[in-house]
Amino acid sequence: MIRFDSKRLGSGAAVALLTGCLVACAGGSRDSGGAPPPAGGETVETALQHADSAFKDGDYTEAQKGYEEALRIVPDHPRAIVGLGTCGLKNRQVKRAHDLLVDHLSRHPENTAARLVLARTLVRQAEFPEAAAQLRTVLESDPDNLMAHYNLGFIAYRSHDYDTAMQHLQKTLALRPDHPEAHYTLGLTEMATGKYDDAVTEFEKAIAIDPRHVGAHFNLAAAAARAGRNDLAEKERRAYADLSGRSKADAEESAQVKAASLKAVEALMAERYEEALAEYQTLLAAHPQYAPLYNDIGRVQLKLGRRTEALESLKQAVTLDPTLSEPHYLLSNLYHQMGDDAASTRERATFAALETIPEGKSAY
Amino acid sequence: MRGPVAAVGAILAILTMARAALTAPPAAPPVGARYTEVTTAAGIAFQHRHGGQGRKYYIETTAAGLCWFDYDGDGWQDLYFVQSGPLPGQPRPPSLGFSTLYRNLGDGRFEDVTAKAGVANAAGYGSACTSADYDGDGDADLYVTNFGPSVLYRNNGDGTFTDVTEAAGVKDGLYAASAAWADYDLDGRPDLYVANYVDFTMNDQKYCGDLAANRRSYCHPDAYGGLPDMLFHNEGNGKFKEVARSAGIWDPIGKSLGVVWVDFDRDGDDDLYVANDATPNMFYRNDGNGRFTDITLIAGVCCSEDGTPQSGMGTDAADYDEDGFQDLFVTNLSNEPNELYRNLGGKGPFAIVSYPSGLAEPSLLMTGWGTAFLDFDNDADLDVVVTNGHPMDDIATVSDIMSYAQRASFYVNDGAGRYRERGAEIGDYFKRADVGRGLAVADYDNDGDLDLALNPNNRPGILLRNDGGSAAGHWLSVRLTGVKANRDGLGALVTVTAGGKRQVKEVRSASSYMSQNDLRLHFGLGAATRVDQIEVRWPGKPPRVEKVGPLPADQFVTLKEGLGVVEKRPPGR
Repeated sequence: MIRFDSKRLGSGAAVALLTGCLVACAGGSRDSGGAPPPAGGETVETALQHADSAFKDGDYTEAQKGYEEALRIVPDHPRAIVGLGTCGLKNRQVKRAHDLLVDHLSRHPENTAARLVLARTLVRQAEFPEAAAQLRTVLESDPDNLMAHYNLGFIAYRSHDYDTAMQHLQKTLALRPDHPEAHYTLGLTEMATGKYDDAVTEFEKAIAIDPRHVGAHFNLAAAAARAGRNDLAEKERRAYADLSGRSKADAEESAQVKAASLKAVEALMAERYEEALAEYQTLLAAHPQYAPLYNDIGRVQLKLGRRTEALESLKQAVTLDPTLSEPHYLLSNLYHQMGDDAASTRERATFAALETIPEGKSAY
Repeated sequence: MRGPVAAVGAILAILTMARAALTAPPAAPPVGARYTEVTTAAGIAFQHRHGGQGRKYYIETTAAGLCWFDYDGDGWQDLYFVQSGPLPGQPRPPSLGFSTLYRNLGDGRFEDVTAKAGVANAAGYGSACTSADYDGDGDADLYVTNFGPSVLYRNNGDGTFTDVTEAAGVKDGLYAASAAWADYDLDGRPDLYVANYVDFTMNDQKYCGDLAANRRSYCHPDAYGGLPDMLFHNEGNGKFKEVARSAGIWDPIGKSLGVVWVDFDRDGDDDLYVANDATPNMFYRNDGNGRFTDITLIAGVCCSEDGTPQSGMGTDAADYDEDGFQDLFVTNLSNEPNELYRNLGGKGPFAIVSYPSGLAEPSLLMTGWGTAFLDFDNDADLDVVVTNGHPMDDIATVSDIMSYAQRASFYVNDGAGRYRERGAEIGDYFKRADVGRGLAVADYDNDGDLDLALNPNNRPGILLRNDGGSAAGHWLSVRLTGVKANRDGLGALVTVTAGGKRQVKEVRSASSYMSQNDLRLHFGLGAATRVDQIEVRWPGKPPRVEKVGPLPADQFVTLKEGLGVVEKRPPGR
């Protein structure tokens, strides 16, 4: 039994539940009540295929439309409900997804996959005891449900109910010994109870399964230090730094350029564009393959009205790094000014694709 | 088989509920004090404006802080609000006020003395402020950071200030956020750290949001690069020298917002903690020779528990667990918990105890900014206050569980280092949503309990008076005056022993988010009517330790280095 002595837990649990989401949202449910009714079945399947495909491509808005279409044809279709609920999480319509799933489960309490997604919506709203209650309900009908055990273990850890956490995490590992997150969370639990050697063991198991597990390296360093194993701690700090992009090697060029571009930034802030351009061009001579510099130069050239030069600079930026979004935006405006609307539209679409990813980098 | 399984399930559920009832935390006692909003009655009419007109310039999101400091040396804390708008290059509408200095009249009211004092920061898009007597002439000077050149105002000692930025060499010139004074090299002169944020310029306005839907939003900090922070060494002749590189704290990648100086290892010199937004927080140990060593990874205070950089905004340090060592607290973006890092004995490592402490869970749907450890009810333990508000003013259009304006949080310590959010019981302000940013703490009415001032984004400034704190428990307020040490005693460690309890606090300038608290150290004493001892470890080479006591509780005392208690004042004066 789980004791929760606090009302809410943490977003880490959201990550934990996300780990298992694809089973629920794209792969359907083994307790979903079987195939949909025959009437309209082909159309439902078509809608679901379209939605699943869009989901896998990361286009959650389109996927949502597909699942809504499936539900229009067959209301309460169990897999469409699960898909739509998961899309709600992806599209940050969490409350809406929650209400949809609660309503559905009132009629179809057997839909385990829907209940797992409901637990995710509760975690996202920081309602952890309620999420745990849903997961325990899953275990009543499916005592070996891996996802329910793992997430109950994680929630119990977050609630500092370490005995319960151990039970669920060990059960998870009995069901799937190569579950890196279960080893990792077990390691966190051991560390929280002061068993640093045991924590080291669990973090090492997680890393053996997933060598790029950032959190496991980060915490293995801490556990090793507290266990007095300083060599291991130092080794893991280096591993963490490398994996998390914090190593000097990874950051060196960016840091050099950044440090050297301060004068240019100051000149820009003071609207001294010629001076800024000269600073950037000096930097470029030292870092000729550094794509963001071409973007910076193109931006200043635009300020100076040098469109042709700006065009070349911006094109070079996207040639060197096609994932840079801003030069596409600037190119779109530039092409528009130059009367090439087709190119402008193409660049704008590329920019939009790079920037307007739900939960992506462009906005919070 | 379903019937028996269901029956067992029902029994288990009942047992679970019964156990939950048995193990549920006991009802908390009533709060010992409340906060009353007295802004208008106190004569404060400051209105922060970010100057935005819909183009969503990035600088509109970060807003500004405020500072408590006694600029006229009359023993009453004065209040300085930092103004941001108008946007650079835009005309200032008549209704848009400047950064404002309010002189405390000592009767609960304040008077706007900005024009006379000459601290309007009229040319700057303001961020933060921090105050110290940098020139050791006996009065409090003021540094104001801006998006663009920042400003150092030297106090002339007659109620006016002079802009000495150029001569002092502390302009910075970048997108500055928090700043804080500390005598890091123990030469008796306060030095200045300036946290710089991102390389946004008004000429570099990127498009963020949903282009297809024509919804332009404020960008995430990932859209911009970081900037190095500045460390200005006080040369003692009115001039400063920028030494970040040679001191070993050069980090051109960091996107710094918050900063706190803290002697985490109690070796007598101030170490440096920097809260970064979307890049790892940084922690530098002072090596005692003018240089610092990056110990961020050894300390484990960079990130979340999973090693992921978060969106550090504000920060504070205090000994919340009463083991004599200063712990760290950082406020973060929604979906990230505010983090409490417990200092494990000053040897380097910290433990992340955000969830076990109770500070993490209620913060998950909030974006935290200003923050402070404070003993609001004088029960001899440290409570925590956090201002909240999302950076995106249109967050509700893309998320149905988040809002732009958010309630501020007030976490009450249960005496064992466990916190419970009890804002709704603490005061009406904590029931309503606001767009929180800067926060600063002071006993502005000198009645023996800690009051709050806030500078929300694009909204009116707020003054919250503590009612009942001084009646709830005994207290002592300690002001230091350095002689060999810097005059404000920055970096001094003060240990008060009373009622069988030892409390350790450090004198520091700025903390929170772009803000500065009352430099006087406030100790809640609970039921103790007498202080057995005050021990002061003055900053210096070597540190000097002085002890005074016993002395009665419920008074303001000033200790001068080498002379002991030189002034005692009862409450209300």
